[in-house]
Amino acid sequence: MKYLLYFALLYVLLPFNLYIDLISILIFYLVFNEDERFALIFSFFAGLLIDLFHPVVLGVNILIYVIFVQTLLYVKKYFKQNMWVNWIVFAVYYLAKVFVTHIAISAPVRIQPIIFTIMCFLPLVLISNKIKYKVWMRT
Amino acid sequence: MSRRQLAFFFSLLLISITFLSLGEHTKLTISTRLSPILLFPVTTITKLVDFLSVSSTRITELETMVNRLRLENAEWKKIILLDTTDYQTTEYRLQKAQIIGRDPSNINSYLYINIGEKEGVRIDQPVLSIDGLIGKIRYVGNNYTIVETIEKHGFAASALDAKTGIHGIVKNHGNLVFDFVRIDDEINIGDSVYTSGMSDIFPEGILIGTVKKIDESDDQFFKPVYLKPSVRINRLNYVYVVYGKENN
Repeated sequence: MKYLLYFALLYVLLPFNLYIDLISILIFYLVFNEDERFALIFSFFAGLLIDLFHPVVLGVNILIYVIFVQTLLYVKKYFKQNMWVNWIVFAVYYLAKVFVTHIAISAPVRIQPIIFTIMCFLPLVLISNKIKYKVWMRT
Repeated sequence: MSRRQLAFFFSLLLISITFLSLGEHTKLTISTRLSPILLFPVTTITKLVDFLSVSSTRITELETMVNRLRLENAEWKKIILLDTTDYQTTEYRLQKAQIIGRDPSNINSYLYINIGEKEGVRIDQPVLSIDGLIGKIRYVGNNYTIVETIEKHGFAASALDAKTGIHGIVKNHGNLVFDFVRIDDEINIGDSVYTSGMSDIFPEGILIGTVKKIDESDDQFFKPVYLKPSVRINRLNYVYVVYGKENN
């Protein structure tokens, strides 16, 4: 049931993804809080939807998301999770994603959505944790 | 990390690489088939949001009108300076669109812009910028459009030299060439070449480029005239899609 909810959320967030990249935040959240295989499938599907909705080259966003999620799944066991570490890891992950997307498809880099996304990450994750696990941050 | 998960990751990777390596036509076909199915919920939500945001639509309309007037103003200035073409922009409506991507394999040949079917865009509508002709619509998606630019090999438009009135066809053979200029036609470096309006696609009076080189020809009828495009496509962020009478 909760997996269906994540997919519904993906559809709701898709039209606003150009203004604030909530899908990246959602994927990052899933990597740390849900089944690893589901996180991979979800990132694949999110990439596919983005490629269809904001098309440039079919497959680019799928490739970037799948590789980034697998990298995160691999490195997440090497650091201890807390609020600031998660935020820094997300910022690095997100900036790397934007950079790779820019290199891959010459997409224009828009600073405002990047700043909004990085700023919104922490409050959104804190609120989600509080709603789902009754704690602000899982460690 | 389990071997099973690694295999799973590599299969997803393989699918995405397969998508990437497909030809442009196949990609378009797949996108066209998949979009209505997979994007059905989001299309419905977008339509609902559009319906609710009446005031924002009004702002966009006004913005479009301001841009159209600016463009018309710029065109009229050119007409006053040259006084060669009978340009009537009032028949046309311009819709501003943002460039959201470029095909990395042909960086200037195709542009992806952020308006599509729901804005009433149709195949073959002309696309221009304040400096002149950019190209025409090649493919229309629900909320995006692919523009084929004048830098695409094989692109063609009927044209005329504004100074001398010589008619011909501007074609991209790797370089932009003004074809069918006769050996004895008087044409000079620096002359401006505009669309002639002798086609169903491009209205007359849109600047295509200026003559940069005229070659001696072995041909006994025509000489090759090379043009410098008026628009630097790799520097563009916005374009204008032209809606003709039938589109309005």
